[in-house]
Amino acid sequence: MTPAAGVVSRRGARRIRIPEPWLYLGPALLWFLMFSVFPLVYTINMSLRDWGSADQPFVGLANYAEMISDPSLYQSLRTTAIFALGAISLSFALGVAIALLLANDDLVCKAFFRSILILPYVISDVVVGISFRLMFHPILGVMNYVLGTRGWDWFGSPNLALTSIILAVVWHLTPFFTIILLAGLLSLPKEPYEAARIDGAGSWRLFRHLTLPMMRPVCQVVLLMGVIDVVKVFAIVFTTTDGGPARLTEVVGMYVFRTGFRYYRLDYASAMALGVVVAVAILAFLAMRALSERAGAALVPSEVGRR
Amino acid sequence: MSRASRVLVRRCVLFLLAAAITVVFLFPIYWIVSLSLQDAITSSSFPPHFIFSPTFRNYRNLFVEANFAPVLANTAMIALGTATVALVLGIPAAYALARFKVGSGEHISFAVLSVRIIPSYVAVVPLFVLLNKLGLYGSRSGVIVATSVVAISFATWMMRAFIIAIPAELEDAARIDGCSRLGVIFRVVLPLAAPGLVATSLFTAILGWNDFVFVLILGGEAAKTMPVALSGLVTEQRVEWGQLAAGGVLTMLPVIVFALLVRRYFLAGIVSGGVNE
Repeated sequence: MTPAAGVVSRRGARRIRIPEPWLYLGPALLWFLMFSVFPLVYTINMSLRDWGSADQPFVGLANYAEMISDPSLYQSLRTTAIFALGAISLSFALGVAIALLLANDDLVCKAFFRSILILPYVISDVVVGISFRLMFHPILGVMNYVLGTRGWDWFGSPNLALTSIILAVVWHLTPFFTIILLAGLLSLPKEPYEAARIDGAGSWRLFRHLTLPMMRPVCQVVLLMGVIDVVKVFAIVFTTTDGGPARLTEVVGMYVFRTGFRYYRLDYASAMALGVVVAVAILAFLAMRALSERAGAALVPSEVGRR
Repeated sequence: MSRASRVLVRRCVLFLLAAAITVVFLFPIYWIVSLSLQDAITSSSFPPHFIFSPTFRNYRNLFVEANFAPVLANTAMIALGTATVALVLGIPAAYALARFKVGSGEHISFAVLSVRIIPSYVAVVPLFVLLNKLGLYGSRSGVIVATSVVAISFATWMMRAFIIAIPAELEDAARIDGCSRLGVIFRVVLPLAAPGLVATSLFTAILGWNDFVFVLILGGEAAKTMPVALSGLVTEQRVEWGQLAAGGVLTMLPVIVFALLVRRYFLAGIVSGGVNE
């Protein structure tokens, strides 16, 4: 009736229009809230109780205190560290070498090699584990035949088990490093190379003084993503050694799984799971900081927008 | 040596190097395929056979003796379910993030990344308890609930990049012609983002197809999929090599075909956390 009322009602109408993006975001956010955020909060609840008893009494930080004095946990963390170091350094080095090869203008059938060499990465972890187990079988395995290492029990012997798992993971992970590094190499500007070549620089010096410094941000991103991926490794260990022999290959994922779903100590498994989340979150924070630099941010849209 | 012949030698060396790497990297795939086509006597003899007369008996036995038909059906259903949930919830979210200013870009990428970094052996601990309470333990829907979380974040991130690439002017033109927002999404945005739609659905389907931890712990017997069933075969005392290899081939073959179909978008897929859990 008055102009003021008209303004109010128009504002009311606009207030319904403002949350339009949230209308589209809503369902996905609700889903996350229900099946990701709430479970995480629930894990905190589980970790503060004695889940095995009938009424699941509150026990405070007892499960966390147990973590501090658990030699198996330390053992699994040590194993994870060795495993991560071995797997990442090997697959990164291989990834760099293969990416440099695939980025070379003189390579014929480039497209073919580029698409065929990604295949090990898409294969299910379980199939990776199974095919390595079949190949590395001590009596019938093709590996002992090809390498002439008769009778080596790759996944069964204390000396070789972790190395064998590392080999399987390196096979699986190298294409991941290769693809991202290759994209980084292909997006480097051409002009500095031409200028340096005119000045008489050889290919080693081009690599050392141009490629390496320009590739640094991409390398940081890919290494951090690699670390996060390696902490997640579970199925390959599960299908090849199951943490053995004598728990020598029990990475932290295997230990959480064994505690929670073989001994049914869900409270202690929750506490350790949260520990892993915190550790990985710190890593991810570092990854995000590296990602916000132009290299990582440029990766996704540039490739999608192409063609 | 003349310049032309030096280039030729260089090309040959590079090609041979790439070929050698390819042979090494494809050998495990070749070998599991080869074992799956050998009869029991050939596959369990040493030295291993590189030349043999192939048989499809292992594949037949997988379904006739080991009863893998329902397992394969479960795997397909879970892959399909994961992709469906991811697209239905992820596309609107991607549209909102691409076309409106919601929060800062950094917050959103942090939200997406934080889902991707949580290992599934961590996420599965509370879900095991909660799905039991909801009565969803041991069902395909329970597994899809778990696999879809990563799949949605992946689909949102990937589709957002595709939608941003579509000029907003096209949408405005359609709006002026009287098209509703929903009409714009279905008649303008999605048709133009069709390649991205295909790539995203294939990547999310692969996530569901390849999943191991969620199916192992939340699926029980009823929702068992290929990866879990195969891991069960490998721990038994008497391992049927041929059947195991045949199962492995059936599990990886669709994924390889899918991956080659969308190889152009592979980089984007990997960076945003597709393919692997």
